[in-house]
Amino acid sequence: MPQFVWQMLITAFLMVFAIPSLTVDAILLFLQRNFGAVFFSAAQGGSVLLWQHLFWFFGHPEVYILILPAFGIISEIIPTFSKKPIFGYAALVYAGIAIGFLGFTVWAHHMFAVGMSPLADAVFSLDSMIIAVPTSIKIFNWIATLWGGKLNLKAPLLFAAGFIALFIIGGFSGISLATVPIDFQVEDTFFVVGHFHYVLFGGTVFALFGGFYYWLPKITGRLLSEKLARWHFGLMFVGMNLTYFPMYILGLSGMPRRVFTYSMAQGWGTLNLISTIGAFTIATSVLIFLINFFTSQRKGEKAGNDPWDGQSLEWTVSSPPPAYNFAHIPVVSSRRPFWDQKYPPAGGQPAARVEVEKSNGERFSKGSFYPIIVALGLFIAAFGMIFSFWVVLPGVAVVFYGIIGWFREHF
Amino acid sequence: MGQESTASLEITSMGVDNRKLGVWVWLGSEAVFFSALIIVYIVMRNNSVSGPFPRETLNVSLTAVNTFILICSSLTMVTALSAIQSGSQRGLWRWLVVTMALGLAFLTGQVIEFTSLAHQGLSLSSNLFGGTFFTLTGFHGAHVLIGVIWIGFVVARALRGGYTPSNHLMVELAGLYWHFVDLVWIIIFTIVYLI
Amino acid sequence: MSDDIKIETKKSSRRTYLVVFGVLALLTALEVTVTHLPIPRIPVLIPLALIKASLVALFYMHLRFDRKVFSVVFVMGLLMGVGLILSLIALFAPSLLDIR
Repeated sequence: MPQFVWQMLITAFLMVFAIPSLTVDAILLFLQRNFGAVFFSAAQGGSVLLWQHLFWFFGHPEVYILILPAFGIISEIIPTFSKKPIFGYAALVYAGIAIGFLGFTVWAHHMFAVGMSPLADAVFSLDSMIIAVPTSIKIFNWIATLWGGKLNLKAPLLFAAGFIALFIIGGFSGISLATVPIDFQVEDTFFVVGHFHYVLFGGTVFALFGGFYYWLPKITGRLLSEKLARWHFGLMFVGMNLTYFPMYILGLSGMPRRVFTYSMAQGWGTLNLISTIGAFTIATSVLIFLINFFTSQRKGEKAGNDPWDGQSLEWTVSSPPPAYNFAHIPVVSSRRPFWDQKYPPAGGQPAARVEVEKSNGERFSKGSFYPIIVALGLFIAAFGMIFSFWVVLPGVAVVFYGIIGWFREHF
Repeated sequence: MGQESTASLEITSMGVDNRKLGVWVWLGSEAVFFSALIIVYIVMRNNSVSGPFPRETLNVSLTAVNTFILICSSLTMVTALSAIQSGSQRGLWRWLVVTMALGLAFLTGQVIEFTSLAHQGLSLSSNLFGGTFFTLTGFHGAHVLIGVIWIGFVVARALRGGYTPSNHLMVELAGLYWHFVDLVWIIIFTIVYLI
Repeated sequence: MSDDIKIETKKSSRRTYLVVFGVLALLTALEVTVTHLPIPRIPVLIPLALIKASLVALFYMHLRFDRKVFSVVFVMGLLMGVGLILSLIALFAPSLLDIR
C-alpha cells in the first residue's frame, strides 16, 4: 500500500480507540455541569485529576492523529521529487505502528506538574523519550531518500523539506519537555506553545500545503503557479520561525500561557512584537496561496495525468480523475507500480499493467445523502446540548437514522 | 433512499464482509468506552463523603437473577442465528422475540433496582457512588434498550422472509452487538455488585 | 449475507451453545456463592468474570471459528480498555488503598 494509506490506517485505529475516552470525559463533565454530579468536586471526594487522565488518554493519541497523516504525505512527496524509491518502506510502516501504540502510553506527560508521584512522572517521561526513536527513524529515512536523488525542486518538495527541518526543531523541544525537571520549569509557559506550534504548524500544516501543491493539480486538473508557490513557501517559512521561535525564549524567561496580557516591565515586548510580525507574514503567505489557487483554476496550465513523473497509481488516471477512479481495480505487485510500468527494471516485466479505460459504470458509488444527514443530526444535538436538552433527542435520532442508513446502503 | 444489502458478494481484498469488520472495530471502541466508565466507577465509588454506600444498598440477589436473564438472552440470540443458518424462518423470529422479551425483563429488573436505590437516597447527584453507579449502569441499560429496538427491526424483516441461510448478515451483526452488551454486563456485575 | 460461508470454518452446534450456557450459569452461581464465603474476592472473581466474558466472545460471538482479523481488532480494543483500567488503578492507588 502507499505510505500515506498505511499512516491513515494507523490513524484510523488511533481514532477508534482514543476517542471513547474523550466521550466518557465529556459525558462526566456534562453530567456534573447539568445534573449535579460530583465526579470532579474535591469537597465531595471527587478528583479533578481523573478528568485530566481521561482527557489526555485521548489527547495524546490525538496529536499522533494529527501528525501521522502528515508523515504519510511527506512519505509520498519525497520519493516522487527525488525520483527514488522511499528509503526503508517497511521501517516506515513499523515505525508508524510503534508510534501509534506508544502514543497510548505517554499521556501523563501533559500532567507532570499536577502532583503525581515521582515514579509516575518517571515512567511517563521514559515512554515519551522512547517514542522519539520510531519518529527519528522516519526522519532518517526521509533524508536517506533525498540523498543521492535527482531532486525536482518544486513546491511540494520545498514544503516537505521545510517540514523536516521544522519538525525536528519541534521534536527537540518535545524531548526537553519530556525531561521532567525541565518541564517543571517551563510548564504552562510559552515554551510549550512554541513546541507544539513547531510540530503542528511546521509539521502538519507544512505537510498539508505540500500535499495541496502535490495533489491539487490531480484534483482540479490545473497546475498551480510555481512562482507564487515559492513566495508562499518563503514567506511562510520565515513567518513561521519569526512567530514561534521567540516563544521558546519567552517561555524560558517565564512568560505564562493562557494569560492575555502582561506589563511592559517584564521585558517580553520585543519578542512578542517579532512574533506578531511573523504572524502577519504567515497571513500574507496564505493570501498568496489563495490567490494562486483561485487564479490557477481559471488560467492555470493543464496538469495532465502525470505532472510530477509520479510513482503511484493516482498518476495513471486523468486530472481530475473519473468518478469511478479506476475502470478495473488494478492488481499491484510493486511498491512503485506506475514507476515500474513507465521504466521497467532492466530486462524485467512491468510490475503492473494499469489500463486507463472507460468504465461501464457498474461498480461505482453513486454518492449518498446519509453523511450530510449525520452532520445535520450532530448539529441539532450539539445545539441542544448547549441551549436546550430536549433538542438533543431528535438530534440523536437523526444521527442514528443517518448512520444506519449509511451502513445499510449498498455500493 | 439507500438499498438493503443484496445477496451479491462484496469481494474485498481481505475476504471478509466490510460491515462485519466495521461492527467488530466499533465493538473494540465500545470496549474502551465502557472501560473508561468502569475505571471511573472503580476509582470513585468508595470515595463518597456521604452515603448511601455500596455494600448496604445494592441488591445482589435481584441483580444476579438479572444477570442470569441476560445470559439466557445470549443463548436465545445465538439460537435464532443458528435457526436461520439451518433455514428455519420460524425458529429465527421466535427466538429473536424471546431474546427481546428477556432483554425487556432485564430492563425491568434494572428499573426495579434503580427505583429501590433512589428510595434509599441514591441519585446521580447524591454522591460519588450514585454518580458513577448510575452513569455506568445507565449507559449499559441504554445499550440494552437500543439492542432490543434493533432486534425488533430484525424481527420485522424476518417476518417478511427477508433472511435466508446464505443472506443473514444483519442477524449476525445484531447478535454480535447483543452478545457484547451481555459481555459488558458480566464485567459490570462482577465489579459493581460482587467486589 | 454470509459471503464468508465459503471461507468460514465450522458452525457451532446447538449443543455447544447449550454447554456454554450451562458453564456461564454455573460460574455466575459460583461467583455469587464466593461473596458469601470468607475468601478474597478480587483474585477469584475477576478471573471468573474474564472466563465468562471469553466464553461469550469465543463461542457466542463466534470468534473462535471466524477469521482472525475480527479477533485482532476486538482484542486491540479490549487491551486498550484493560490498559486504561490498570494504569489508572495504579495512578490512583493511594486513594484506592486508603479508603478500602
